[in-house]
Amino acid sequence: MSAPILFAGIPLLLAPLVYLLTRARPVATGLSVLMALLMALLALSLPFGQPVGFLGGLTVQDTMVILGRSFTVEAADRLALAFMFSQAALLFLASGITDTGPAFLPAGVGVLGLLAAAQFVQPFLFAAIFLELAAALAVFMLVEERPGEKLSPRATRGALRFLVYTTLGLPFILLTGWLLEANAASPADPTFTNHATLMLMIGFTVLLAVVPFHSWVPAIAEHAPPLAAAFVLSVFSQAVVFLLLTFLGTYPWLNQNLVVYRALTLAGGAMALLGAVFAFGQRNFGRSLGYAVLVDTGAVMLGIGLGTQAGIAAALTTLALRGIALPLWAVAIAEIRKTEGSDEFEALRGYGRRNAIAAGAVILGLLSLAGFPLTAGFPGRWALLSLLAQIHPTAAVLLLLGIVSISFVCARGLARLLALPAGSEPAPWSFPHISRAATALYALAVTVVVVLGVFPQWILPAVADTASALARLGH
Amino acid sequence: MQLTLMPFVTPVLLAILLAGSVLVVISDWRVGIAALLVEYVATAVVLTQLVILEVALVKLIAGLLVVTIMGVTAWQLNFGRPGTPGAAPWQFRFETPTALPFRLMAVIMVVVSALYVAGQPNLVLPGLDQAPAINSASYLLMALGLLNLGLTEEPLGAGLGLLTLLLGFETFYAAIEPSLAVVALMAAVEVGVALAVSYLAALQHGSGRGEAES
Repeated sequence: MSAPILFAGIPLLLAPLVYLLTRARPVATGLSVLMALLMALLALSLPFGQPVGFLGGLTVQDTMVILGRSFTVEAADRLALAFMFSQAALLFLASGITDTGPAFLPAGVGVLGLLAAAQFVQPFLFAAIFLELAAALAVFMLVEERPGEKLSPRATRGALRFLVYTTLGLPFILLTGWLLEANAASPADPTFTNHATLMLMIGFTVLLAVVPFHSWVPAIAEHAPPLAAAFVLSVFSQAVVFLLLTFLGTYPWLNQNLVVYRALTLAGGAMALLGAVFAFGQRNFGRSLGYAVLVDTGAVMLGIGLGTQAGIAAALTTLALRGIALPLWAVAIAEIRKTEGSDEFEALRGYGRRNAIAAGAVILGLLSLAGFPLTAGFPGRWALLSLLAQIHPTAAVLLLLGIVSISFVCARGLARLLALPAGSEPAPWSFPHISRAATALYALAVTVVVVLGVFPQWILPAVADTASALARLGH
Repeated sequence: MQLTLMPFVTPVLLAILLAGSVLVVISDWRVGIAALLVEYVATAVVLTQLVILEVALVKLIAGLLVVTIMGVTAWQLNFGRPGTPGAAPWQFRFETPTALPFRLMAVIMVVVSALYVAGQPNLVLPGLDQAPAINSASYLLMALGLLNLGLTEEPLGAGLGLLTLLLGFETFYAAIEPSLAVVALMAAVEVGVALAVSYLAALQHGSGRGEAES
């Protein structure tokens, strides 16, 4: 048996089965969560090339060849896989207490398989094809049909733009492959590597939703089912960032080119600034999250742009902690949209008194994503700000602006959630009756967000190991 | 085969130009899907200059599958028109977008620019030095696909633009990466994109329809 079959093939084969189990929702959810958790564990612990006791002495090879293309699981891929599968497990688990469309679980499981294949394929450039296939499959969970309700064009806009921009990034990354082959034929000529660098930079600019290719992020945050939006904004984005790090670690002409790091810093700073400016005027929890994600992606790019292992560790911490904030936000906002039919600040006046749990969770999720002190997002943001302040103080200021702007939006949202509707009498605070599973999940998520904000050292070693493995690839 | 099809290269290029332009100018789904079919067939013919017949055939089959997916979706959605009792979809009048003069001007400008760029010796696409027809076809398809994408946000219309853009890229990518694995993966991408945009179109135009009609 080969590892690529295990990590990519099994999710892809499981996806149709999960779809068939849509009516038996708890079974489908349990199966998806188990698969994702099992894959995350196997990614961390499965030995390759030697008999594995718990698999009946089966030997798992790290490479598989299909139609002349090899798929190889390397050390850094294992950590990337563990990140993606554990993040997905959390979102699948959250789907157990949230109304999501029937496509969320099967499409999510299938997308995981394609994203895993994107990490393994050699040469790496063909990963763009698997990302594109994953984006096409993800579209199915990004738009949800509600019986008897006509969808507005805005509901499909985010998913369509996501597909279009991923498709636009595809040619640039694929062309890099041809340029690298040309470079191998005449290694003395730097033209090909310069062009390849440019192509890769454009390709990743589009895939990472850097300004001006960002419009799909706030659109899906506002209109897509919250868990599906969280899946794309965390798991899919993680796959793209890991791919970027793999490229940087593999090609010396790329990782030794200062222009690349400057471009990453510039793009990251621009995203932090734009996210801060646009978030400031928002009066809707969905779009606010979209712009908070832009600031967060800017932070990730600024971390990678530092060109140091500490910078990569800070970027990965940011990415990992985004994966904790987003499910909390998604579960809460799904509850709000279900009961109130909107996530506009004005429409939610007084909602905090009627459902303090969901109101608190949505604010906490946003604050954590912004990197507000005493939330899980803070350690990563603080580490990055400390590093940036020494090397790129302007970028540190832009990132700080992002944190302040999103925190301000949270404060404004909280004020509306706690305000009394005009002319009404103060109502007593109430906590709606929710299931034990929902109570447990809310409690777990809130505890994790708060505890990791206070004790970040619990997660940082794993992140540092991943950063170190990715940074070591090419050295 | 290459020699047999050589006389058809100019008419085929013309067909690509017309089909790509029609896709931008006329927003009627029936015309758009027919134009996409013409693009796939014409591209497969022009590709035989450069790749083996089997590869061109694989691309043609993938294209036919894509057109079928889009066609069935459009048919299910009554070609994007509100249902009229007793009227068959094919009896509807053709409709052109209100900004027809603007679209025509845009198409003319984009076609002229694409053909000018394709004619520049230093801007020939990689691997197409000896195949100017494929070079021109690629530039035309990519430029017109991008223009179409920029002009519409309706899922099926934008999907037709996206598929045209992908077809243009694939046409020249086949010259530099003709391996079977990549051809198969690119075909999978096209089918995936077609399914995704069909799903979006079905949701946007089909949601609430059942309830409204009952």
